[in-house]
Amino acid sequence: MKQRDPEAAEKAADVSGQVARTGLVRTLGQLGLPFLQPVLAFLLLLALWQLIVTIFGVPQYLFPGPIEVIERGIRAAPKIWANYTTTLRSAVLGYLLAVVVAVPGSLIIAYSAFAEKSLFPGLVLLHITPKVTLAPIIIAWLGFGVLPKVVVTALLCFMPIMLNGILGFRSIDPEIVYLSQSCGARPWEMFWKVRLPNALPTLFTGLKHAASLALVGAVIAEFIGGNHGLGYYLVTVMDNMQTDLGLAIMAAMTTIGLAFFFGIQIIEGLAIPWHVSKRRREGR
Amino acid sequence: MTAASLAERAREVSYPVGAALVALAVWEAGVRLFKVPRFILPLPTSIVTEGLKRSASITPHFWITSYEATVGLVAAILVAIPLGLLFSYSTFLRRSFYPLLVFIDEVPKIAFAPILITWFGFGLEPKMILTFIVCFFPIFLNSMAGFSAIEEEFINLGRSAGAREWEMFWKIRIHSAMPNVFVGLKMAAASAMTGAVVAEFLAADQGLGLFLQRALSELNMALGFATIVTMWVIGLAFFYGMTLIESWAIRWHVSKRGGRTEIL
Repeated sequence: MKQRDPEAAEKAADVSGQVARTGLVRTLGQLGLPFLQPVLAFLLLLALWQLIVTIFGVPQYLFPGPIEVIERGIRAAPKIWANYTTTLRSAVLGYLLAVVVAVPGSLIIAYSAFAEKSLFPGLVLLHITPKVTLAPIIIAWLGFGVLPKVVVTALLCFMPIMLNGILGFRSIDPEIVYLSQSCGARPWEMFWKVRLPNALPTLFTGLKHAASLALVGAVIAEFIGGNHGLGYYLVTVMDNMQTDLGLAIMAAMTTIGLAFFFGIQIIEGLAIPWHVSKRRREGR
Repeated sequence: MTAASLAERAREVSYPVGAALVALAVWEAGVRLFKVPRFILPLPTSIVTEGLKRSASITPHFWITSYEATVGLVAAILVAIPLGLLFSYSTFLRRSFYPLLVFIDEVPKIAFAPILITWFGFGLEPKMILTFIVCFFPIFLNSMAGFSAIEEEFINLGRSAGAREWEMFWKIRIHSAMPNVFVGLKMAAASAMTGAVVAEFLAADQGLGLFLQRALSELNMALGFATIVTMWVIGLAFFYGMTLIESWAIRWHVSKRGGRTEIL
């Protein structure tokens, strides 16, 4: 079997490391030279797609080829862009709202044994429940403006940040606490220099998970009760059977997801460089 | 379980249950006290009574949504695990398509909903397919990782014990991949219902998503909340069902792991 030679085993280990949400960046980084192969595979798939559509004469409103999608996307670019900024704004505001509420909330719960005992099991349960189901109610309450989108987004992003925050602030090596106490650290120093840095890696896990949900929240809210934004635009376009434009809109959405993903990745690199570099070395 | 540990457990449970009861009581009292209009926020008690009163009309939609989510999830399992296995064996496939698949994973999957509805109509199919798409990626990516990352010592051990190729596969590869596979399966189970319901929100002739929209358009908030609770029951049943299967299928791993924080 292949796994016997060490190189293959290492490759296998690499693959396992990539699965986390952090996978994309590391994959791209690791590939280096073999970067060409996935690009070729991608181009080949596109060519195949175009070929099938052309040869079998698939109606364009059902399944357009990539060339049509790109053409249509470029032609509709101004309109897509106008909706793009709306969705991006809802997603960013919702995400920030979740961060602003969840991080202090997780601190309170982590510091109070009573609050943790009472609330943590319920929060875990709430984390698993599908919160998307609340979107129609939120829209019924708040109408069709920006606010309901922001709230739905915040609702989806809230739990991962909260739970990982609690875990991060809670799990600290007691020896580190004893050491800093015997060095005479004041409470605020304890927090600022010991607890917070210790919690940040776990907190960032939650922040990254939430980042992947922000776009989903905004788009679903726009599906249900929108009058602007990419989600609303996609629904109206598909009602008119303009699949080519629909796929172009989806591509635009994906760039928002990627922007979130890389944005948090960059902030993480700035905030906890010591951890990111360590993880990279261990992952190798 | 001894009496002491039972009492311990009861005390542990009493905190979250107490917190939930207090929250519900505050909600009930607040709505009554401040005379919040019922079409904005219903009483918890009226959610229960309304839900029970209309349970006969909720039930068929409950089954439809559960059915869509189940079919989508099962289809995703049947496709994603073998594909993960295939990718773990072929370096060529992995090199060519893995980055692309990770990239596609970044596409907001629920955005396929309007497209699927245009293609497949108002029936059950677009909901099943959307559930399939939502569930596919976590299972696929995690099973590939599981099948790929086998400790070399196990392979060496199996070899020196004279294991045949199929034994190596069945007893070592499958076995050691299972914990990872179940990570993916649980993630998928938790989001299966979401896929079905989001598609129902957009266009449906039956299902809980449609029922919720109808209840809200009649400003019957109590029924709306009862419907949402029903959806949550499905979502939780899927997740805990999968957890149950996991604890049966890989007892050795689950008991070792012990904790309940795995869902994060």
